[in-house]
Amino acid sequence: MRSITDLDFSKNTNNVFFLKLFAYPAFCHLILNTNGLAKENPQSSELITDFYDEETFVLIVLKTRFNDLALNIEFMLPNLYKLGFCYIANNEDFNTVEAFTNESKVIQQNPFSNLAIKSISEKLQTETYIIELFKTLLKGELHPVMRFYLLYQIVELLINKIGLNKFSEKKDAFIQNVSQTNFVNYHDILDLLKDFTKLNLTENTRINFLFEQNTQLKISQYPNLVSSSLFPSQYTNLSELIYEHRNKLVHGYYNLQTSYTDIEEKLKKFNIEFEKLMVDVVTSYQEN
Amino acid sequence: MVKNNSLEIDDFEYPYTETPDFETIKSSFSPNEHEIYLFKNKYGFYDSYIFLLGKDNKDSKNSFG
Repeated sequence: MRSITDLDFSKNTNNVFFLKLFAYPAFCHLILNTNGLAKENPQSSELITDFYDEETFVLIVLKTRFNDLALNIEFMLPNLYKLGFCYIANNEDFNTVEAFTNESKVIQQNPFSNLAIKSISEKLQTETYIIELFKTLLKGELHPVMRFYLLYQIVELLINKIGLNKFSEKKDAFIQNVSQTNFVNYHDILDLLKDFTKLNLTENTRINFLFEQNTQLKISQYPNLVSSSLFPSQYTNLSELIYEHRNKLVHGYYNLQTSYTDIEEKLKKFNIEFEKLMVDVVTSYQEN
Repeated sequence: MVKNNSLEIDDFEYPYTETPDFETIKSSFSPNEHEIYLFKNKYGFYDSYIFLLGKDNKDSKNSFG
């Protein structure tokens, strides 16, 4: 992943490996417009920055190195988004990406920094909403409450899966019990049925499952999320923090607007941290 | 070499023995060898990164993606 400005070869001749393996192919792709994203047909006298924004980054994948590796760039878009990299799918996207000019750098400066890109969980790779969220929906300018709603849909999606999985486990255990028991007393059947109907998982309970079991993310990992929270509560875990924000933003945003004059600005800052948490959720999600 | 979901580069052989000029590269360039993706950084800084593909940091040692 290189900044488009790094493709100025005169500045990179000391890095021969980078030039050979990535910079020249990247430049060829861009100059020949193989992905159809060049803003205009370049002339030989023009610089690459004349037709691509300076903020543009180029990710080159050497396909011959990935013959045996199931590389799907879409599965890595959430993790790239967390690092600030918004996918450019068409020319309009160059102007669509919302920039946070006051955001402190998330990564220390080093021209040869190495980072590991994580794929989303294997359990979520068929969830098209998650892909579309980070590929399309989030990168434009959004009202902060709308951004929160879109992000919170991840929680809704996952706690629905958790509920279905819990039901499936309970159903299987119920069927096994029924099939292996020779009932002689009707009350034994009633006891089994009563136990089965105890499966009444509230939203709060399933959110708790999400953070405590399925992702095992701890609130101590997110001090910036806690410090940017909208409410003065003392949270002991992530599910408490997320559940309160969900309740008040989904059911009472109209009221918050009158209670807090700067709610939009506060929510904008909270969303920056909430986005990072949601990326960690989709990359670390596991099913028991 | 692809190993443990990581990309090892130590056995990589590039066809050029010295840094070629642009025309040389362009004449032998095949779009099928590479895939290219464009991103714009919403934080607006211009650092460059070499990303590693691996399950964790241990996997990504000496790998390159």
